[in-house]
Amino acid sequence: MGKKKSVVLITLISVVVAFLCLLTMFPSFGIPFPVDGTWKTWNPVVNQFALSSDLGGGYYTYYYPQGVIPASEYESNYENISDEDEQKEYKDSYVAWKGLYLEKAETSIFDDEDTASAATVSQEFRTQFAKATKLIMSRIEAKGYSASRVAVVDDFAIRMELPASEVNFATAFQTFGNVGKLELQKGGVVLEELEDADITDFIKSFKVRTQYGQVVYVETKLTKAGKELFKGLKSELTASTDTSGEGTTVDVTLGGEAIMQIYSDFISDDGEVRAAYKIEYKDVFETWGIVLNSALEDGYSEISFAELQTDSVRRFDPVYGENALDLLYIALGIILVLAIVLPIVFYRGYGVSCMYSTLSYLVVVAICFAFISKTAFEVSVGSVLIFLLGLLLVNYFNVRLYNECKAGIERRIPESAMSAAYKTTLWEMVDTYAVLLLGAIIFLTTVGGVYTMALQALICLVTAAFCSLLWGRLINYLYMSAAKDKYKYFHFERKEVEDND
Amino acid sequence: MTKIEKFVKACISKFKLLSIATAVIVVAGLVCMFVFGYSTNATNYDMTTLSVKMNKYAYSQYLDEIEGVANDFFSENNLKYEYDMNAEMHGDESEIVYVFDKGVVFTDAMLANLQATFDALTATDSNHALAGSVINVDVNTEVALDRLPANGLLRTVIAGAAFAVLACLYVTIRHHYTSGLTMFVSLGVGAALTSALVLLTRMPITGNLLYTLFFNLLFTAICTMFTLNKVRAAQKGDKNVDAETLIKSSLAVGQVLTFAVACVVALVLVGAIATSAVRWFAAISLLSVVAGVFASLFFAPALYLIVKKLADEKDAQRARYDYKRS
Repeated sequence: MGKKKSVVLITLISVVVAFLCLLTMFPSFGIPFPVDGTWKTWNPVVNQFALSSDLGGGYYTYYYPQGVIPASEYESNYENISDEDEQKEYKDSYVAWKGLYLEKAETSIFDDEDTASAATVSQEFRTQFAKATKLIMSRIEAKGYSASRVAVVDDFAIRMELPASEVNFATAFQTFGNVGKLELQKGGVVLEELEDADITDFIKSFKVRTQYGQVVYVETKLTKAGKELFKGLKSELTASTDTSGEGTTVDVTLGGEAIMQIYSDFISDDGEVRAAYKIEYKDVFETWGIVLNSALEDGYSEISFAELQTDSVRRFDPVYGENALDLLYIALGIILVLAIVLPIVFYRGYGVSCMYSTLSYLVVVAICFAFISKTAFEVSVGSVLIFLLGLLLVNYFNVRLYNECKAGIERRIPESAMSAAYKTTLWEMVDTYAVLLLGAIIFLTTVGGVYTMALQALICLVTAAFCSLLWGRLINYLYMSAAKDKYKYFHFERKEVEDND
Repeated sequence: MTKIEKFVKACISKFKLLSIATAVIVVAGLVCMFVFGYSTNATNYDMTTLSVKMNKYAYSQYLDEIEGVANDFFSENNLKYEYDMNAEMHGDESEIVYVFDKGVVFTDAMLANLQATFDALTATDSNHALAGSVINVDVNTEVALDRLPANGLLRTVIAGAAFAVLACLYVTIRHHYTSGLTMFVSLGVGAALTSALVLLTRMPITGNLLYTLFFNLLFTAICTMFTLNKVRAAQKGDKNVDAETLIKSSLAVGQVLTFAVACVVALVLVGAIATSAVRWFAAISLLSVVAGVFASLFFAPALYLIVKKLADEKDAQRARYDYKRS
């Protein structure tokens, strides 16, 4: 390629890379003029990551079983009672247990109110509470948050933390805490057919799918008996009217709460059930899908938690401290500067072309991390490790290429030494990336944080492979073509060689 | 040749020793797990929390003062919290949750003292700006449930095994079955050693172990590929080279150690900014780097030497047989 063409292409690429770097990293500021009539703030790509709770904070709430209250609520209620007798009565109606108070009259906790004490909490309550925590855990695990936490508080309450990336946190908390029985109701009454049978005799599972990116629908996978049941229900629903009092829908309920209403239109003639909703509710129904499947597979708990109020969900700052992200960016900045400056110092012109690989890797990965909206795609400290692993690989292969070229410079001119180095290292790079990509792809079959990490590894490795195998080579080729003195470009000493190639 | 290179070269002819050392560590880890169970004694994972709950009036305007009272109380009682969760105002109430090591105990007297301090500030007849507001203190113990999700562990183990098999197949197709086998065993040894070292060092096992195993497999695969690539290049240069010379000239000591040091720096960085719960993650990952270096730099070349010698002998026998037949 001619020098002029190379210079033009390098200039164009430099402008694009610089623009993307600004897009990725330029600090946020208030735009000094209105955009579409509103004042907006510029936010770089790195500010738009869905951060896990270790970096971005999150939300938490407490689940208190009916009859259990925290000590602060007890104290507050107690102090609000002005009458001494009433205060005594209130005091007598509770049993203190660590930081909680248990209501003596709550039959699910104590078998006998008169003998109620911390030692007489019924075994059944303990068993049902353990079952409820297990149900909540399995739901959190199925949702696949890379960072979440569930803890038993003082033996009889639960605290759950979700990452800030969970946009529908209020729904998630509400939904995950519903550990009641899954039932089908019509007109507020449980279907007769379910009285002597288990719901799994009729429903196999729930699948949440989208169609054309516009509709989300919940598909109820039915057994043969289920199909027969819904065929019958379809004709009943079609015949009934609002005034008949029989109900025009079949409600899927959990712990008595209606989750999904099935209209006759949702039931096909052969008994298939597909409930369609607006796409905006996709995340909500995905969460419901998890909860409904968990209720089908794992059953239910007899206890119920006190209803969550809006003020019982709280937001908290990153657990590393408010400056954790800034510190992390500073540290990453130092690593990036080293990855850019050191090659330039040691390899001169070739080092400059390496800089493009490093920056391109950074930009592509950052953009992918920010705009992949897959559920529970959160950037965590683990993601940073994976990012650095990819960055290390890109730079390792740049160095490897240079060393191979340097080894051949005794016998060749720089162009053919580099060409030979490319040939020598090509399959090394392909093999290494191929093996790693296999790993990332296979780990996509895992769940939770490991799945997220595997997805991030896939992005990092594909980008690193692209930078090492194509992009870096193109940039180097352009720079080499534009360089007047190829020896200076590579920081090699000029020697008279007889090129054999 | 550096001392490290000399040492590595000396080690690769000691496959039995390396195998025994690996087996001993893995068995010791397993015994440790079966006898003592795995460590759940995670600092800051199971925790004691002290929550200061306050109504809107108190929180929105006088947060600093409330925190000041709490901090004075902590310093008077020589208590140090790991981190705090400063919940935003929501509805009529908010709270600050101070998170302590699970061993920290708050006596009734201590709590009464703290509550009394808040009560004095919030008493309606006090002249303090917080007069009339409501502040309550709760102390709770928390037992974390998401230590090691069984389903996640099972899937990670299956994925890890599948990765080892596929990596082995790929390398076998691209290089030779001796290299494929080396890759398979190297990945297995790396993962097994990581798990065993975590069990032996009694580091708390949480879901983070799964991330570490994934990281370890990638790290070990990269470092093993460094050596196998060199072996392939050396074999291309001289096809008649004997196994020992081949592997000794193909050791990627510099590359593996440079890569390991870079990873260690990154992990130390992560550990430095983290709370203790994530420091454990960084610490376990450091162990996985050590295991990965051992598996790829010592064990894999030693194994390759044995397998290559056996393969060469088999090839030689086959060559003699073919010669006789012809």
